[in-house]
Amino acid sequence: MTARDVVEFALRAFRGHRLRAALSLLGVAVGVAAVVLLTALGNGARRYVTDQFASIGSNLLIVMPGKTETTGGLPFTAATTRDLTLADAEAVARLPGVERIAPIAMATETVAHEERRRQVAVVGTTPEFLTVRHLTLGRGSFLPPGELRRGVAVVVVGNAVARELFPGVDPVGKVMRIGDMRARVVGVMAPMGEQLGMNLDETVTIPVARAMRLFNRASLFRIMIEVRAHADLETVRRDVVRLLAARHREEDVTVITQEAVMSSFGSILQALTLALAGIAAISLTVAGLGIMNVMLVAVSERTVEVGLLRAVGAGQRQVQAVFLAEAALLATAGGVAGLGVGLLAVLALRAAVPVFPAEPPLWAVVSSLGVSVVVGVVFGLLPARRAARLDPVAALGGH
Amino acid sequence: MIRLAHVTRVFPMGEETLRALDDVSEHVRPGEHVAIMGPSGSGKSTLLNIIGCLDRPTEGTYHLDGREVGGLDDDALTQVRRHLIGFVFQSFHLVPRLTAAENVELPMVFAGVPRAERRARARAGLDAVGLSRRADHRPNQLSGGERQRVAIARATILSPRLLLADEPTGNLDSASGRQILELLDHMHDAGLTLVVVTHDPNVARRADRVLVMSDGRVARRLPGAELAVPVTT
Repeated sequence: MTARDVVEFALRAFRGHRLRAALSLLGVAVGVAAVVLLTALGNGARRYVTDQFASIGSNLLIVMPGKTETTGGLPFTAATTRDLTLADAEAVARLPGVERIAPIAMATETVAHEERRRQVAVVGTTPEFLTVRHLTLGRGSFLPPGELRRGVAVVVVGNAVARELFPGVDPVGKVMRIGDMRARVVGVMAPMGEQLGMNLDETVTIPVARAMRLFNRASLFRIMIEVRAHADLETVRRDVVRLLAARHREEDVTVITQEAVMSSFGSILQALTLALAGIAAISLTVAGLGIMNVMLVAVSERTVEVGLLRAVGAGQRQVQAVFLAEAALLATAGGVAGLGVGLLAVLALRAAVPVFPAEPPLWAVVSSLGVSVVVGVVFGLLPARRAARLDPVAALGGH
Repeated sequence: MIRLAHVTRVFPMGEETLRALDDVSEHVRPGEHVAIMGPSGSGKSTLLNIIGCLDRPTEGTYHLDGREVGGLDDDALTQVRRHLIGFVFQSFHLVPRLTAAENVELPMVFAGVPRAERRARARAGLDAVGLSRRADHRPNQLSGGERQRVAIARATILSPRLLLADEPTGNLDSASGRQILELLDHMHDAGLTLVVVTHDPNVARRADRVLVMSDGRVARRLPGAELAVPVTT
């Protein structure tokens, strides 16, 4: 009996119970499609975040006030900190290897023009921010270059803010209110959409010194540092830590590289992808139980047939092979169908949400198909052995 | 051909045991035609199953074609069934989803006969039972007599030495039954050893010898020709 004979015989067997075979096949298909789709989502999220970080630039260092303790005690608790000041930012800017810096102060304020008002995030920074964050100006100009501490009363509005506060009007040159401050609009940002969970279209940007006065704060929120050469990233990072530790007389800032953030996000989302794959794999196992059920029913329905096969010279192993092949074929066909459906769903998702780069990782595609075949064989084994071990006389209906 | 010596078959029935065969010794010569008769539960099916290597004796020895087969393992018994024995059943036992030709091919599939040869031999086998035009019909498209002829073609396709038939005409009308019996006679004439289990004296009468079973023993042995009236024991 050749492998082809076994497969042919198994395929014939489906004629007898098409609906049942189709349903158990569907179970596997759903499992595989779930693996493909869910891992595509997880992987897409990872790629989305990675792309977002990459768009900001890979030569970035970010200084945050507070020391994150990663050893002992509660993780990520900030000890008492000194303010991260504009003077600190100036000192950092003078370090060798630093191309440019952008100090950032941030708070939420009410902005208004005539009768229209709304709450938006106000970013206080310097002209370098535009370059450091790879942002694009739509109209007018960005913050004026000049001395860090002056803080003239000008504002650059995000695209959505411009549309809502100045409908049908060019905002450039107009005066608007930010909290209790009046500022002249000098520019409008190009539409940016969401970046790192923050919609830049719904922010307004003002000079950093002005922002700190407005918020009544002495400490910056962040200092972003663009390093001249990627190779110097780590050296500069250590220099920044050392400099600020000296200025503050203790090490009370955290300096992270863009890449570290990216890779930790990447590994979190990788874990998420694996977890999703695990959940989907459970449905594959359930599908295996479905196959086992269908095969057990098939064996009990075809008991007489098994007796006949034994009488005409089929060995136990041949009977087992025939039933095992049925289970494996069901699972494999289900796997292939599920793969097709899953990939189509991913394509549909990509068409519907173009910014989200959903794509199942290759390992998920290969292993879901592999696992579905294994599931068929493993869950087909018990019914197949039961068929093979039937006593021929009893199976034929004797006694 | 068949040599049974003190064959006993005991089935456990809960606490008790059932002696389906009790010390049966019998010898069937090559080319002989033997009928086994007897009431239900007399042990005739058990005897046929042991002769057919579907079952093994609890005690005693069974030599088939000069070889002791009573103690063989499952694989070896499979080989014996495959090459030495053909079975014909009362309810035909055709695989319903396979065509007549595919049913006839089955024994050759398990015996590893190459595909093309299988096709040709199955057609020839169906031709020999007068069903060459029914080769691509499924069992449910065939009459009872036709189904049994397919079953006989299947049973003899690997040229066995021994053909075993369990009530081969039991589910057939008398005309179809007669055709089947003539076909079996024809096979027997060609040299096949034939053992038929039957209730029907008209079937048994065709045999060289009739064994009448009772309570697991062979109660009487008589020539088939002497079976003028229905036997009751």
